Amino acid sequence: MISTIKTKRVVGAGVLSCMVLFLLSACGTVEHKVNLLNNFTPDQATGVEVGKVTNETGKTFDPEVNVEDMLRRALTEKLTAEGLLWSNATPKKLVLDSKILDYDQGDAFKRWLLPGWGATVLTIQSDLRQDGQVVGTVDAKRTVSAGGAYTIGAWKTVFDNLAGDVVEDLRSKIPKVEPKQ
Amino acid sequence: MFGTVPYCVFALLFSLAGCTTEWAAEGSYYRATQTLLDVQSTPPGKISINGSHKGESPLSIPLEYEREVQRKTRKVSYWISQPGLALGITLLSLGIYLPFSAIPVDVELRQEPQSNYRLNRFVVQVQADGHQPWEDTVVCTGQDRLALNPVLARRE
Repeated sequence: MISTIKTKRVVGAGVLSCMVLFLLSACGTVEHKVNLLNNFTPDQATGVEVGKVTNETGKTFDPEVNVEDMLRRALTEKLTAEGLLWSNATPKKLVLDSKILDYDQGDAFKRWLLPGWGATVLTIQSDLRQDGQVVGTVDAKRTVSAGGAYTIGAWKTVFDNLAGDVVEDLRSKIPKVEPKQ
Repeated sequence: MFGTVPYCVFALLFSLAGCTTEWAAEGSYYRATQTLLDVQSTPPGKISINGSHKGESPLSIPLEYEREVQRKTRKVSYWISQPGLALGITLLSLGIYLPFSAIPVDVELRQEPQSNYRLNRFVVQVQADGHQPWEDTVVCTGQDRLALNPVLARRE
């Protein structure tokens, strides 16, 4: 009798934790890498300008979903936050031209009903140029394929998260200028 | 009785790992690519590429053009895309997640470079005093390096 109750409790705890995980977690893939060509090493005082952003998905989206603008804005915000955005005060400039290769808005309710259904997907490929010459490439992808209420709005936040990944990669390659004492 | 359990778990894990859909073509795009061109002329001279002066030989210069890349996607289970996460959820849920983990929830992307190029023809010219100008067309098709060793003829 006691062992049956214990078993039921264990199973109940398992089911509950599984449900909580599904409700709260935003499960998906995060992939990003930067590749600098021909041993290119950026100078310490290098800024990054957000260049052309093009939609190569072959899809057209609702007028309020301007994917090019959303990515441009997200990259600009993250570069600013990291102190990497190019300005006239920065002597060296890298231009980041980006192609949106894949974007699916997805649907949080569908994801909650059946993981994998209604996945939000964003994939980009960017070229880093200095004086018009390609000096590096960036590849980044994010998916939100499972989760519940926590993933509402992922169609928008996926741009911010992916831009964060790209800027994190750029920061790892561009040395930080330490403030003078 | 419990002797067969580990085998069953392994069999189940193997079968779950196979829960994928077929690769589906999702269109293509053109990606910037480079070939390093080494020019070493006899005698040394001025080098122009597509009519634009680039410097004096010997010279190494990257030629930039575009290569078509095919995008393919497929749906996979977390056992393939994120095995650590799948194992973690399985353990945290005391195994209840295991049968659900067979669902191919994640999207896997593959990029396959194709043999189509664009903007990959470059007219290379070398000019030296007292010599006939030398010209050739270079077609880049994904090589890492290309070498040109032109010998310029003396002017009569």
